[in-house]
Amino acid sequence: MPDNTSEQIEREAREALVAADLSAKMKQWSDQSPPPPGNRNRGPQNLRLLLLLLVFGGAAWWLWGPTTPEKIQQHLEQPVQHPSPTPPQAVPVPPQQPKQPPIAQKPAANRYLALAQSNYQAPNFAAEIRGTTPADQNVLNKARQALDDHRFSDALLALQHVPPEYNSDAAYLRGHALFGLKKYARAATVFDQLAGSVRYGEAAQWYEILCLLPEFEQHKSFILNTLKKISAEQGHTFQQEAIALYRLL
Amino acid sequence: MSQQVLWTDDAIVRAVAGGGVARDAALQWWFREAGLQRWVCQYAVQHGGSETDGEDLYHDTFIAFDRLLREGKYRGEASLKTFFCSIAKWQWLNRQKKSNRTVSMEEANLLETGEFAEDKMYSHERQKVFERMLGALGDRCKRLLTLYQLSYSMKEIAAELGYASDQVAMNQCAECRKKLKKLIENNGELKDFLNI
Repeated sequence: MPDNTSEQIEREAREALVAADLSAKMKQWSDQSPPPPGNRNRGPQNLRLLLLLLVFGGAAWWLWGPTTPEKIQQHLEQPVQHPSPTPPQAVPVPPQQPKQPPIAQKPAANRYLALAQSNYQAPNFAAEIRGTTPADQNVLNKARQALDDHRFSDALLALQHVPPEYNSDAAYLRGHALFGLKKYARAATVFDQLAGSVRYGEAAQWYEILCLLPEFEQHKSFILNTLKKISAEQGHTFQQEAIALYRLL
Repeated sequence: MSQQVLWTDDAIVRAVAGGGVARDAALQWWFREAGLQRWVCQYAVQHGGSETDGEDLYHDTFIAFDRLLREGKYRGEASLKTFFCSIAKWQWLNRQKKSNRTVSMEEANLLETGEFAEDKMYSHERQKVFERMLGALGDRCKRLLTLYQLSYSMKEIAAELGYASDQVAMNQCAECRKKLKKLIENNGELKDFLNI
């Protein structure tokens, strides 16, 4: 085989590897049903939501809305009038029913948040700090130290200056810092981007699930599918944790 | 700090060509552009295909799109969306041609303009032949060569795969490339497929 052809085929083979890697990522992205904020496809959905709000808002205004000018006038004319036993118009009733949903939803949301926090165990960042690391890794060490001290904002600041060759390490630390700051959605995005990493992939998968957990209903299918996948994967670093969490959900 | 990136055409092209986490983020954002996915599916359906053909077409177009961007084939003469759609059309027409279906004169002209080289486009058949051969390479070598192909530096590869230094990564890379060359040399199916 001429050298030229051989090199060409070798390049094609490596391209096939890239294509296979991208195919796997595409599959993963399609499984994540909810599109990110800013996706143009959300337009009609948002419009529908706005319309619904307008309809309900209008109805609420009509039923319990603030006093009309006529009512104010009436009120000024009869300052000391006691409530009539048979009011001529609908008396504003305290809207008790609309208050119900938040009360009912709060404990459920808190439950998932509590599950996320109780299942989260931060890696031992301090153990990864070594005195012999090259100078350009100092920033990473600084971030690790900040994470270990629970100074999450400082860690994020330090990570702004990481050289590009340590992108994956920086992203992993950034994910943990965001989790520590309770920015779960942003942390999930960061971990999601690391899911294909050989070094951090398994951990990123697990931490992404924890980040999405506070919004469980929104990400239900992705969370359950990923947990099932991790649970079935022999040797996965977080297999046992995934099995336990899946049972709880 | 993680920032909301404004994915302009230029930012996408730079991120994809640059590789790393930024490439993934840009491609993921592009992938979720539901408008494009719908457009590609509709195109396939309007041209005699099924919904599944449309999904396959989107997949193939996406992979070709990534490769063409990395190879600097997008010259910025049209918008990135237009570029993506023309890849989809080209992929579709080429597939029709291969399956001996008739294509209109206008469509045939599009194929003959040679806007895209055939070997840069995605072909399931070719991919399968390569994947069968690459199975013997081992996961670590596969990952390493993927990163190498995506122009990661040896330093980045060492960091990503947990090697002690970039020199170790370089040695491993040379080892994996040697292994791959041997696989290519000894693979009759691939030679038959490529007619060499």
